[in-house]
Amino acid sequence: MPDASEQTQPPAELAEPTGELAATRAALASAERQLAELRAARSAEMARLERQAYWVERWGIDLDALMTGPWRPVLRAAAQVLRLLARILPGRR
Amino acid sequence: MSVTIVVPVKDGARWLPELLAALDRQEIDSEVEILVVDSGSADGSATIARKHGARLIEISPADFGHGRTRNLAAERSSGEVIVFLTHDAVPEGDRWLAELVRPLDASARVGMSFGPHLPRSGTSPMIARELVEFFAGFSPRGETRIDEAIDDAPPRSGFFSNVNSAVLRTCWEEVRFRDVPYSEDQAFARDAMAAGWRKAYAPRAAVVHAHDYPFTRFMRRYFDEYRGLREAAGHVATVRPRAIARDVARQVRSDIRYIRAQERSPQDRLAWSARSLRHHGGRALFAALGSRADRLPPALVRRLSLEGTAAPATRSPARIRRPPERPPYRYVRSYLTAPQAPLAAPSPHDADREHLHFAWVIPPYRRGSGGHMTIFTIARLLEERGHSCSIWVHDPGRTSAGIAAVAHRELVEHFAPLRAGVFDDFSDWHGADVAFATGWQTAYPLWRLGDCKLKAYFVQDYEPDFYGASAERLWAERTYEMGYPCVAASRWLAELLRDRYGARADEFELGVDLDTYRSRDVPRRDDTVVFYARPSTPRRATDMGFLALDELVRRRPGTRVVVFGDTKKPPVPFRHDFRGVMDADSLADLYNEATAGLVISLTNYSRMPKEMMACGLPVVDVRHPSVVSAFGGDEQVIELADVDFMSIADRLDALLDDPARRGDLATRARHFVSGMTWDAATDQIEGSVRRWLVEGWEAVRSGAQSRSASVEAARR
Repeated sequence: MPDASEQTQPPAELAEPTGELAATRAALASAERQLAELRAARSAEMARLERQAYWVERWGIDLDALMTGPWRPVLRAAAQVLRLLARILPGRR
Repeated sequence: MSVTIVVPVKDGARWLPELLAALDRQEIDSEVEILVVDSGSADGSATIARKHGARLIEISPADFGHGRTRNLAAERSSGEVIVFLTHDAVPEGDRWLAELVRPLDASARVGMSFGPHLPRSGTSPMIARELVEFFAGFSPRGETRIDEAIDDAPPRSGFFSNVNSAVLRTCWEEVRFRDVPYSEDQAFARDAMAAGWRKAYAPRAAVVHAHDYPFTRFMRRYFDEYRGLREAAGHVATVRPRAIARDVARQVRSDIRYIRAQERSPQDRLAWSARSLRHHGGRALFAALGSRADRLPPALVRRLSLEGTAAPATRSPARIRRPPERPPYRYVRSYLTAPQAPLAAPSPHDADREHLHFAWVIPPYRRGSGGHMTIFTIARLLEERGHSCSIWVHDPGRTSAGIAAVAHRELVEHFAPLRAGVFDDFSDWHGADVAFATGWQTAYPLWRLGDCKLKAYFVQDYEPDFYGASAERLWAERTYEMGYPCVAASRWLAELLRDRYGARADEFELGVDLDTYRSRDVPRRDDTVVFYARPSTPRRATDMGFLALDELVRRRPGTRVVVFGDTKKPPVPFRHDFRGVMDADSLADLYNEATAGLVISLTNYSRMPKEMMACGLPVVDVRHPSVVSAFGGDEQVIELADVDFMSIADRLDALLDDPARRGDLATRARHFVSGMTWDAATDQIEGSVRRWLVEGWEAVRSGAQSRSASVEAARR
């Protein structure tokens, strides 16, 4: 039977990681950092899409329905004109 | 009764001499004062008024507001009756004033009157015809009409026009004009009638007044007018094509009849008929747009509005959705019937990773919510430290906008400029290092959300006290036993969670934005009490506050009460200034201007007293344990009243009587909050989170150690 001091002694590989364990931990830390970055990017992308979609959602416009309806050619033309204007007007992006 | 006639003027030289001459001709057995308020005329209007002997107040154009300026004029005048004219409204006949004032009677609560507008010669037929028909509708037999209830069906009993109106000073003092960009008269009539005043129409008190403008100017006026009607009365013009066509056809037919009755050439008749069609069609369009101005892009609103303002003065009442009677509580089943989604395996670097992802599961929000402001302030500061956040709205009753993009815009515009996206569907859940429940309802969906290193509970109030004996109360209590470590917004709350529920609970100190809430160059008054009144939040005991203020005003009639914090003006019997939901800058100005602040908190102390303290405003709150725990029970930095309206009134009364006590309180309170920043609060929260992450790893590690030791022992 081990004595009490032996029971509380941490296993060598858990106390001070070296070699393969240290490398695994570093890889894990890197993967988790990447995961956090992905989550951040997803949240930020969502915010960007929400900024873009604001007026469409606010006015309850169903672009899918509009673009498959009989007005599609007119709307496409109008959208193209607007995009052109947005590009050429000074101070617009 | 003495009378003050108020004429706001901006470049009114064309009509002012005629108007002032007409005032001189009035036959009335009362003392009459003429007060002209000039807001930067460049055409000599001020000189005309001065030469005529009128009292003149000159203000800058930037200070003008339809309600604000009329309130200013009323404050600076002494007449028992205040008559309002516009600079282009010329009284008809010499009995106009006597007829306008005659129906007013304080004892019968007839507090306001208005008279008809007559068209000038040369006014377009469609304007002249409408004006004549509109006012004739109020009193077909030409008798004085008294209205006491608002009915928007024609003739609209809520209609009131400051082009030609009179108001009893006692009525004005009780109600005052709202500081709105337009339609202050309509809003005043509604507020006054809601307060029990009656309104008179005096058909023989006419002014000659008609606006004939170029077409586009007319249309922009209609835009503003209907926008104002929406804000003051919730009226929304129709967009149904058939209804519009019917209405336009009816108006044009009436115009044609009116034109026919005049001696005009056939070509002239034809031309006016075409203009009539254009006018009424255009009006229908601009009325529809004006009613929906809050949904239009601000740049477009500025273009369409003659006033040139984009932001609505108040939130339009019709847009506020009525919440369902009870939210569906099916989500509670997830906790009661299913095991918790397991936490992601901890790892040794969890606590010292520089950047973490925080997911905030929040209840739906409304502008003005202090709890959400605290959550978003902390989230913003975490983002500033390099962490990232995502916001998850748990809204089973769909009481909020219900659309993530709209919710995101409201968050950014009214709370904090977060980079985080807003998600309203948990099927998009992408995990988090730390996921926070932030209200009892949100603790239940969090139970089933996986892929988190840590699930924690951000507790700002003792929420079971939001309810009486009920399922909600029990479910709220149960969330403290779900095993989430809690970070509580006061020591009192953390102790309560630990002692009563055995929860693991840390505390953080609510912060103050000391850059905003600070001493400002605003003169402090000695008669003003500000009250954070939010009837939609019962824990604020708003009715108790109103009773206390009613008592205070009874004792000290000169007290000025300013009420803020909610979107709807409360129906209270005392005179007060209602400010609605205010932005932080305006609040800081108000706190610097006021004499004492009243905040009532029954489920945990709020951030409001600290913000008032930072502005040097002495605060009265109630002796709730959370308030005592936060500010001490010795009343060094705050006045503590018993939870009773009379005690609150006593404290406020005593405070208003004692400038030295106010000064001492303000000095000590300002020092008390000087280190309480939101950064410090974020430090506390982040510290708790990192410690819990370490504990998570340590638990696994020590478990592994003991397992490993057991295996070793077995081997031997």
